[in-house]
Amino acid sequence: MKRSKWLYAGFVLPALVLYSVFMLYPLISSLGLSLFSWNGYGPKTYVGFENFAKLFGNVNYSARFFGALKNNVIFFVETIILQNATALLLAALVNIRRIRGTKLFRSLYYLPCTLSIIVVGYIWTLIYNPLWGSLNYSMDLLGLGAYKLAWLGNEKTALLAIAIANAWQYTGTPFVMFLAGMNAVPGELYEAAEIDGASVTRQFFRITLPLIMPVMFIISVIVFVGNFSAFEIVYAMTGSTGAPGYSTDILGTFFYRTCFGSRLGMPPDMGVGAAIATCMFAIIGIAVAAWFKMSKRESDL
Amino acid sequence: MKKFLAVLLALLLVLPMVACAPTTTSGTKAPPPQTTAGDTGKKVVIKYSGWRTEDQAAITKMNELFTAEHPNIEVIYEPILATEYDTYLQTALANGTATDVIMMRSYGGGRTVFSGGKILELNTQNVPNLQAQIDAGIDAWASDGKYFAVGTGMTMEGVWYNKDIFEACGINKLPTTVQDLIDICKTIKDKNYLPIACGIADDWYVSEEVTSSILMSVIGSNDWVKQLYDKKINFTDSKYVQMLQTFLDLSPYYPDFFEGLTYEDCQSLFITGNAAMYMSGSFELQGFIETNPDLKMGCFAFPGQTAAPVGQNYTAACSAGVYADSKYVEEALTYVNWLASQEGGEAYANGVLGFFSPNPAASELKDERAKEWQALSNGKTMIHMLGYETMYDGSPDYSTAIGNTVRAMVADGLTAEAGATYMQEQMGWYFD
Repeated sequence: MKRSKWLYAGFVLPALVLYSVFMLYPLISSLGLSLFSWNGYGPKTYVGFENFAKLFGNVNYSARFFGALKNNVIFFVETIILQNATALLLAALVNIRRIRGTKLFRSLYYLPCTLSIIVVGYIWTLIYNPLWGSLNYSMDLLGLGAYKLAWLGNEKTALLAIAIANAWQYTGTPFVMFLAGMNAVPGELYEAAEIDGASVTRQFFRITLPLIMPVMFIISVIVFVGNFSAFEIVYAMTGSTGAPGYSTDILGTFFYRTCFGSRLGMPPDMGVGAAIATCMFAIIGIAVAAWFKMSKRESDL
Repeated sequence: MKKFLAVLLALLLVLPMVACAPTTTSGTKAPPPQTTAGDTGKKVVIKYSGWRTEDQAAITKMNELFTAEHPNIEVIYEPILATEYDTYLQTALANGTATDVIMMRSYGGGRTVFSGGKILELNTQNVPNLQAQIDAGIDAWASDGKYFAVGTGMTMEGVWYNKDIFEACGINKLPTTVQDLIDICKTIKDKNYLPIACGIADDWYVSEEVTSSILMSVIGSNDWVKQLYDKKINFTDSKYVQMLQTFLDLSPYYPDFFEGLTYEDCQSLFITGNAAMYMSGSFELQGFIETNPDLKMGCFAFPGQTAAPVGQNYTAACSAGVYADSKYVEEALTYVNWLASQEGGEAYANGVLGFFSPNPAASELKDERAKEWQALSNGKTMIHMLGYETMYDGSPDYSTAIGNTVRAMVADGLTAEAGATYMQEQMGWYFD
């Protein structure tokens, strides 16, 4: 008995060590860094909560922080609507038993998930290119030439354009999860509904949808965490300056800029950078906890 | 069987650790065999890191020239991607793996690194040839009078033009005033060519290449820059407004949707022969020759408002400093001193085309196109582009602010005056 206890510990240990070294330690040390002033080269100086005071007290920082936070919320809402709606539609279509070759579609829809974010960003930048991009070209062919835009260069469309690229890449994940959820719905329910004369659409809204709500919840949490810590896709498409006019500036790019400095030579400010990261950590942590609590209360009812 | 399974599972858990291990060291290659400097007659290998990946072949060739003169020292150039260089340098200096010779950013970026105390201070004792740079008044790699690198490559900003398109449009005189330039643009547009490849999606391109060249031709002297830096004037000054107005006056001749075009978009428009002109700098020369050797290209300085310009825009681009904790400080200093010499400067400028040595003695160039760029400085006041000497250490920095300003003018139809006011608003932190 004693031996097996040690054996269990042995199994947990490697994962625990890995987690501590690569996740826990960097996390705690970066939280700690937010209390120091450091340009990344010289010595660190302890400054208490001065970095947070600067972040929220200095309008140059606070305006950027709340601007980025607002963009993050918009980015999240756009992504979740696009991604869930598309994934749900595709899953429902693939789940219709009469259609052949659904296995092929399952793989195809999941394919973009396996691409590197940088590759996806690059492909979409080419699609959106105002001069030779396929989007404006297709609009010309469809007679919509008057509505052509510099999609990534326009403050009104840039963030949505990135959200579309982001949703395109990750639609595969909720798609697979919805599909699994749909397959878990007992077949008798549909048979009973069919006997009662319910149409396919009615079956979908009355049976399928309510029963996959828990999946929807998990997906929302994943997308929320992913979007509020997002950086790569925006960096790949419009860089780290939030161009045009801070319309694509999210917490991740604001953090990167502050932490590592700008091309022009703006000195790296690791302290304020870490303070931004700490705020991101708090926002994500609190929101996810609240979300779980809310869903628990709902399921308790 | 159970035991076997348990061991197998444990191994599987440990496996990722092993798999992860090499990635932490993958960035560092095994060092080449090195000998101590004291062993006379034996070769010392020193390394030089920089962000100019495109110059590897040219710098390697130049290093061979150096080794031919100093048979005991071999220099290996190790370029790091420009966008990752600063992060790389930060890490390398922190954990003691920096190379012996280090390319330093000019002004703010370099000064921040120098403040960390890991870069050797240079003076005319340890680097005698530094004197030429001091005499030329180049303080881009100095902090409070302390030099931390010798300049190796200065570049010039101006307008590239496609000689074939100019010829096809019957243009045989280069513009000296803005009105000349506008007339030329009209002619080119009438012949259905794209006059100017210009895009404003990238802040740095707007700041360093587009607005900077126009501004230097407007202000014509370093006095204006000094007054601005000393806060005696600000961005609502009439000369700055005039620069923004010139940018707007030329905008009918930019590509459609230029508000969404990046630097790379503009560059490809020109290099593929699809644009008559392109506002950029001499630093493109090497890449242009390699990408499209058949393109007949020339350059001219951005024209003045009413007469030929008297100010020329330049950039303090590449340099070489010495890592203070290097095992081979002596050898590194010998190399850096050679780079600052007439011979080293010419080797650099003739290898990395479009870059010029800050040492005025090193002026003998072979390539005709490089000479054309070099000639832009003749008889003109050299003015360093705005934003690097100061105005970089607040938010937004100069580059971001001018990018925002130009985009606001285009997107919201602001006048040049309103644009200048918006610029001043954003840069308010500097004037406070």
